[in-house]
Amino acid sequence: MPQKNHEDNPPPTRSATLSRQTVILTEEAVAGSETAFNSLVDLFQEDIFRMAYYRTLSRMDAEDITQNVFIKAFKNISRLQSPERFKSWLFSIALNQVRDFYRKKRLLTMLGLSGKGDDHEQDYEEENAPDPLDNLMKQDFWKHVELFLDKLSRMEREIFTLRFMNHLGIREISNILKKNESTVKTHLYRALGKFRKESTMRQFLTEEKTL
Amino acid sequence: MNYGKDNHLNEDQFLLATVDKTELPAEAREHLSECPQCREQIENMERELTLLSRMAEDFAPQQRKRAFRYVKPRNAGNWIWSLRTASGAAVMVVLAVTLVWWSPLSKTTPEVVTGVTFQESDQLMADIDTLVDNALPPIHVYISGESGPELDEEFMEFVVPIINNTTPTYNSGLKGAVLC
Repeated sequence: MPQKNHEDNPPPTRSATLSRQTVILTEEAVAGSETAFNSLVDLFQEDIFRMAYYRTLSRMDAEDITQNVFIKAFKNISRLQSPERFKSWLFSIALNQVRDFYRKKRLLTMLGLSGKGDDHEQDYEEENAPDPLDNLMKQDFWKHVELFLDKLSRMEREIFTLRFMNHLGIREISNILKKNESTVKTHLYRALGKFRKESTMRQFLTEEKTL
Repeated sequence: MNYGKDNHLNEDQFLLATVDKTELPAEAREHLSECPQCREQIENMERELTLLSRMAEDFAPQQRKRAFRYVKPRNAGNWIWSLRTASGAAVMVVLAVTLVWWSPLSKTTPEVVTGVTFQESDQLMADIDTLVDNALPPIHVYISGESGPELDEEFMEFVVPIINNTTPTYNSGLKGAVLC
């Protein structure tokens, strides 16, 4: 049986060409280089922003979370043991920040202090007002994604999103979630089974592809 | 299990192959390498997932606020320098005040100056009083009659009689008081 190496099986749309550069920059940042840390911010801020956005569906909240993630990373980077795990480490900080965000939101809702409505649609109105058709398509897409993700368990949703929307490898996901690889695969397997049954979502994707 | 030409991957194996092809049993892997139909099915699934990921990326809004960047404070050690400068300045001010306070000039000069100032002020006030008393030239005083002997106190009392306090007025304060 051939040796299993998941890093040889990269996510479908993301190449891992920056990994070496990341390791070098992380080593410098751990040693105290602010310039290296800023370069890491430049490299990963979009990934983290998207990761937060896929989970909050609000641009402003995703921006705040991204900001907090990098502040936390800056404060703790000297404690990072393995520079090659920087990306996983950063994503685990981001995941904790998202959890904190939802905890606070739940608390505010319980206390009746949450004044925010559905700012997902509001975001699109703000950002894409010039093209209403495009705007509508985007809204439709996110509604489909939301509906599909709602059908998954918390762990399935997390793993599916990390794998197929954030382009992380199985090993990276297992590092982030602190689960072993076979557990990650099992959840992914179940999530894919549900995705395969999600005919509306798949039809939407196919239609959009033909447009 | 023997994978023949018509014995394709089942649903579980198909999902397993999408998660990680190395998880498939050896026979299934062998079949997959030979069967374009099964390969196409897996590729279709992967294509849909790629599409999902690409659309998510394209349809996510742009980040407006850039993330935190560490900016080294300019002249980080300046506060020490500022502290030294401020302490030095404070010591200089205290020294200057002490010198002025204890110097012999600071005690004698103000008293002399004050005495002279008072004398000058008295003189000035006396001059002003004289000017007020004799504000008009003598000829004007004569014309106005102020210097005439007939305009003595008795004459003025005749022209403008002094009001007697005992005269009943409206303000006598008694109910029914009659004005005389």
